[in-house]
Amino acid sequence: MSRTQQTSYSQHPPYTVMLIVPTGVGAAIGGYAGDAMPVARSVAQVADCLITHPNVLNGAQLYWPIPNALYVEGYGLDQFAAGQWGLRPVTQNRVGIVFDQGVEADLRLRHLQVADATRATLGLTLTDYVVTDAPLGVELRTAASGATWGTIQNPGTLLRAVEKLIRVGGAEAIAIVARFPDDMGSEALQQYRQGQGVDPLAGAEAVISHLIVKTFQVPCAHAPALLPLPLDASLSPRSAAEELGYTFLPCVLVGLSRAPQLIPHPAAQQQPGEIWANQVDTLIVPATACGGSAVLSLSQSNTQIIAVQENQTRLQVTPEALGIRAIAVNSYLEALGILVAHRAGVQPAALRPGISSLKEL
Amino acid sequence: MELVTQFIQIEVEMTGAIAHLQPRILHQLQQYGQPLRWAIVAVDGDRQQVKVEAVVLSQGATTIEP
Repeated sequence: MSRTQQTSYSQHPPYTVMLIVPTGVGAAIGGYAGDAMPVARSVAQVADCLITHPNVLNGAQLYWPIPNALYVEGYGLDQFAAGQWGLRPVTQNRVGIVFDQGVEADLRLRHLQVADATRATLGLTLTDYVVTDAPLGVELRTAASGATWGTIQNPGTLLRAVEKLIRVGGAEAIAIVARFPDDMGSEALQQYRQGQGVDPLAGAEAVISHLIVKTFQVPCAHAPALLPLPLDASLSPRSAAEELGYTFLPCVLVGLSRAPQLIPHPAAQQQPGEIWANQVDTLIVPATACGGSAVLSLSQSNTQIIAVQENQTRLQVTPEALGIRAIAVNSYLEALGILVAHRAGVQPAALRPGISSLKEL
Repeated sequence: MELVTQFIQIEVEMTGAIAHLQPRILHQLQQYGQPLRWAIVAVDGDRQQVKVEAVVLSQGATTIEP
């Protein structure tokens, strides 16, 4: 940070932006293999602090260390936005892995080799791992809305495993590796690989991590265990990151290694270094996916909301339809411009040719 | 009784202030279990209703209309 920026920092609170791209709704940007990461990297250049979630920062084998980005799982993000939980940045977490018993031995070994690689090559701190006492039984579904969801037949086995990982292993952040159905010939998967469809796994992944964050109030993220897909010459660039290796785990371990700890109670008195919802200056969200808890919560605060039209989703839940005030922009490029102006204290209208005079109230 | 997760869909009135919508959604979802993940997936402005899809956590099996 430059000397000028340091001086500004001491005079003004950190400019904090939350970036949300809901998973499992077919977002044109961010609905594939971590393809909203360029947006996150760009926002992080403008903001002092970027708060976003694993769907944005997870690119399977690919990830990018953004020092001022906070990796916050979706359930934690919702509680944070509601003012119920705070965030405490850390220098590192001890990350523990829970394996679904349904992951076959060879595939588990591939994941353990990823884990060992992150320890040796990246210096991450990992605990010993736990295997669930029964298969999780992940089931996928696509709802009438077009969004993908999922359920777990056996949530209890996952909860028991995580409890052991925290109590015995000393884990401070949890990576879940669940066996997902292989469905190589499905139209949904083929469309996803072409960068066209809705991520068929996303909804179930979110349910798994939400369960853990809700129950244990610790950082958590999920990596699906699947067999490798056959080579496809027409693979979309947006989906390519998930077909580079045998697992989706590297980005999850990296993200969790510095994910903020969750402060699971409303702050009667905020402590220095903690981050709370009343510090969020701006929320950026796709214009047709404004029906989530975090958006509803922050719509009741002083946070400005930027709705990005170009990031089309399968839904049609706009700020206007809900009666939420938001700044409509066409693209993330335009959103970045709004951020710069907002941070500078400049009214965006002053950056356009026409500006009307004041009127009497 | 074992925990189970279930996918549900409900419709919620959106009359009144937007500030009341999220508590109203949570209240209706809690009749089925602990909400794990939910979102408004459609808005019917004419009927002043929103459609919500959710996965809830509950004890044992409950029959929910898909």
